[in-house]
Order: sequence, then C-alpha cells, then structure tokens
Amino acid sequence: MGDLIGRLALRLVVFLTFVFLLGPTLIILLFSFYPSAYITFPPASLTLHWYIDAFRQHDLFVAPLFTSLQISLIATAISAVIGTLAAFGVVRKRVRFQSLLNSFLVAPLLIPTLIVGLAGMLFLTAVGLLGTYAGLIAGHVVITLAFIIQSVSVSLATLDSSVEEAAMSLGSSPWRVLRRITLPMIMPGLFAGAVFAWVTSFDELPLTLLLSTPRTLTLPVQLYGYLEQRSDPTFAAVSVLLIAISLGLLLILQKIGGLEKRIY
Amino acid sequence: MRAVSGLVLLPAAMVLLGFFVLPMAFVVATSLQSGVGIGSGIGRYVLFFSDPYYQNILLRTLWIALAVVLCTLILGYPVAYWLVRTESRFRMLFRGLVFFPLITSSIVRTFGWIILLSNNGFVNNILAALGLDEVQFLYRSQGIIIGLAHVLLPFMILTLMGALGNIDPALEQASRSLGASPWRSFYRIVLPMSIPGVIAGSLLVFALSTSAFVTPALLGGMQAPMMATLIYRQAVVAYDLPSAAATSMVLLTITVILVTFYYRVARPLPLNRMEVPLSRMEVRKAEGV
Repeated sequence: MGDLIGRLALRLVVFLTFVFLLGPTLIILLFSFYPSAYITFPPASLTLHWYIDAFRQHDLFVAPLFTSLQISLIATAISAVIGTLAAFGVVRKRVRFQSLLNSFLVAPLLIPTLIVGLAGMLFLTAVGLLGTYAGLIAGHVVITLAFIIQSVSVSLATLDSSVEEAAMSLGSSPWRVLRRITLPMIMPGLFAGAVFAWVTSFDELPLTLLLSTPRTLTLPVQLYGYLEQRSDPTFAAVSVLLIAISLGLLLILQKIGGLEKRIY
Repeated sequence: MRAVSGLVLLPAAMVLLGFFVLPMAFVVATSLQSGVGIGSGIGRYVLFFSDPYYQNILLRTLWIALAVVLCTLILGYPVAYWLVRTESRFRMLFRGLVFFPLITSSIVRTFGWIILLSNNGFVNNILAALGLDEVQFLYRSQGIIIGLAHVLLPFMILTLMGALGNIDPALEQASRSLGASPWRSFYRIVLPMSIPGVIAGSLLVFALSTSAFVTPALLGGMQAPMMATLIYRQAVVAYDLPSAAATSMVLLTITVILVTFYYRVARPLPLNRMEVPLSRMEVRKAEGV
C-alpha cells in the first residue's frame, strides 16, 4: 500500500515538473492566437492577426532578423574554419602544456558572456571599432569558437585512423586523404558544433547588448528593448516563430546524434 | 597524416589573444583606473565590499542562487530518478522534453514567465478565481527565482541522471528483498550513492545563477538587482566603466571558483557519452540566461 502511494506521489511530482518546464512555452502559443491583449479563459475566439502584424512591423521583426542572420552566419563560418584547424592541432599535435592549451581554447566558455562583452566594449572603444559589424562579429567568434573545437575534437579523437593509413598505403596523397577520408568523417561533428555555435550566436544577448549600436541591431537586442516597454500578442507571435526555428534545429541535431552512433 | 603543423593552432590562438585575452586585461586595468567614477584604484574594491548598497546586491545574488539550487534539486531529483528507472515507451520523448527550456530563446522563455506572473497575469487570475490575494512576483526576487529555476532545471536533471543511472537497480531490489521498506532502501542506498551528482549539479546551477543576466534583467529589473544587472547598469546606464569593470572582476572570481570546483567534482561522474558534450556546450548558451 505504501509502495503504491509512493509511486503515485512520484508520478504526480514528475507530471507537475513537466508542466513547469513546458508552461511558459504553451502560454506563449495560446497568447499568440488570442484576440485581445488580455488573458481571459476560455478565449472568445482565436485569430492569426498577430502573426500578420509581426511581419507588417518591419522594424520589430524582419529587419533585425536579417541583421541577426548575417552576423550569426558569418561568425559561425569563421569559427567553423579556424575551430576545425585548431581541433586538428589539439588532437594530432603533441605539444608541451597540452592541458593548458586546451583550457585556453575553451576559456571563453567559462566566463559569463556579459563580462566577455564588457571586455570587448572596452577594447573596441580603445581601437575605435565599437559599433562596427567587424567588432560585433569578432565578439561572436570568441564565444562560438569553443563549440566547434570541442565538437570536432571529439570526432577526430574517435576517428578510426586505420582508414586513413589504408588510403595512404594505397598511394593517396595527404591532401587527398584529408579531402576524401578525414573531412567527410568529421563532418557530423563539425555540423553539430556549427549548429550549437549558430544557435548561441543567434540568441546571444548580453554581449551583443554591450557591443551593438542602432546600426547593428540584432533580433535579441531589439526584442529585449521591446519587452522592456510592453508585452503584447505580436511579441508572442514572433516568439512562436522563434520557438519553431529552435524546435526544427533540435530535430536536426537528434538526427545527427543518431548518425554519429551509426558511424562509430 | 597523424603529424600536423602547429601552425593550425595559430588563427584560433590569435583571435583569442586579440579579442579575448587582451580585452580581459583591459577590464583589470580599467577596474584599477584612478580618478574616474565612484572610488578609485583598489578603493573601488574596498567600496564594493563595504558599501551596504553593493553588499546587498552581492548577498541577494548569492541568496537567489542558493534558492534556485534548492528548487531545482527538489523538482529535479524525482524527475531524474523517474527518467532513469521508467520503462515507459515514451521515455525518449520525456528526455527530449527536459531539453526544451534550453533550446528556447532566453527572451522568449522569459516573456512566457512575464505573461504568467504579471499582476493581471495567468497565475494571479487563477489565484483570484480561487478567492486568494494577488501575489506580486515580478520585480522581486521571487520572480527571478522561478525564472532561473525553470531554465536551469535541465542542467540539474541531466547531472543527476548521470549519477543515478550508474546505480545498479539490483542493489535496491536486494535491500527490498531483505525486508527494507521502499523509503529505507531509497535513502540508505540510492540517496548516498547519488551525492556526487547532487554536489556537481548544485555547483553548476549555483554558478550559472550568479552570472545570469537576461532573466534577472527582465523579471527583476533594477528593483531587484543582481550582480549581472548591476554591471549592465554601471556600464550602459551610468557609463561608469571602472565600476562596471570592478564589479565584473568580483563576479568573475566567484564564477571561476565555482566552475573549477564543478569540473573537479563532475569529471569522475560517468555521464552518458552523448550527454556530456551536449550539457557542457549548453553551459555557454545558458549563461545567456
């Protein structure tokens, strides 16, 4: 009897915790279809009006979205290239102070982004690059680089090097081996790292808040400013669109996760 | 192909030295600058620890972080235990749902809490319908604690799952068959064995709470300032960069100490292979909280 009560109590706590985890998202979803800006229950009717409004307010959503896409995609591409190079160094080059090097490369992960942002603000002011695209992208590269290095390093370290050796002994040049064997084999790791890097850059607020000017207004900065003023169903509609993007990415990542298991 | 030139490390090292290490040196230097803003030089740090205004913010930050640790432990432990032991067909779905707050944009997630917790919001509507008094959540520590507990709960659950998943269910069954009650076998066998996971999860959640920005900024504002919101205010609103730099150094010291402890405790934990890179990477994302 005590056993049964215990199990039911556990289930109840688990259920309530999942309600807590999903609650804010579900309420946004509901709010975005509400006819009025006030929550009444049950709703009198449901409408798509706010979604249309979100696209009509060009400055709220569409323009900052393009700025965000530009900055996050450029930063991710730069991180992907120099991060993959660095991962080769981390895994395949024996250097002295190996663990020190590794800590140095992932250090930006351990420091609050707001502080990385303040550091960037002070530095870019000193060199006269504050408020430029270049300065903002450099900041985003710093906070996304470690994702690529970590993810590609894991792929490289678990890669079966006998495949590469086989290709070499059959007469392939090192470049050919790199292009035809090594790069395709680390691709899932690189892609997963790049998705994380992109999401981080796309959603980054504290650092961007300190480094951006009205000329480089990203979506999170714009939404933050909007939300400080007011919260309305148009904002909820924009939120639902953003949630849909992250949900799609999660599904892609899960696919890659499965892919990775099949390869190794 | 195993030998590569050390030059491959050069671009990443140059970016990090130029745009991270050097700027961090600027923060240290700025915090010690004299003759600008409130206090000067080392005096700025003395002021921080002696002025009641700053003391209160530091204490509130630590107090909120502690409360968030307790909330995530109380909510997260049963879920982690259930996820590890359940044979439900949908357990992969539930594991996926745990990640949900992490993949939602920090501003969007916080917006959900604003709708729920504001004075004429969803929760207060329900309280009114039940004939209870309205509760003020926003611009107070309570709202910040709820918002942070929500986004940091996945970290606690994942860390606890790593520790709990490693306990052989046969141990519990053995103690049961020897006549122990479910409670007794839980708290004599499972609970003691999961303590390293509890410590690691608590350190992680505590560290992330102390440096959180988006949640305290939107749910607490300057009516309930925390360390990160104070830094933002000093840097952007007051434009007192030396003070912002000094506050950053204090926060940085706290974070680095906690994170170092976390890696000490967490490294020996046998976390699931997929979950380790995922959760460590997500640390960065959650610092946007």
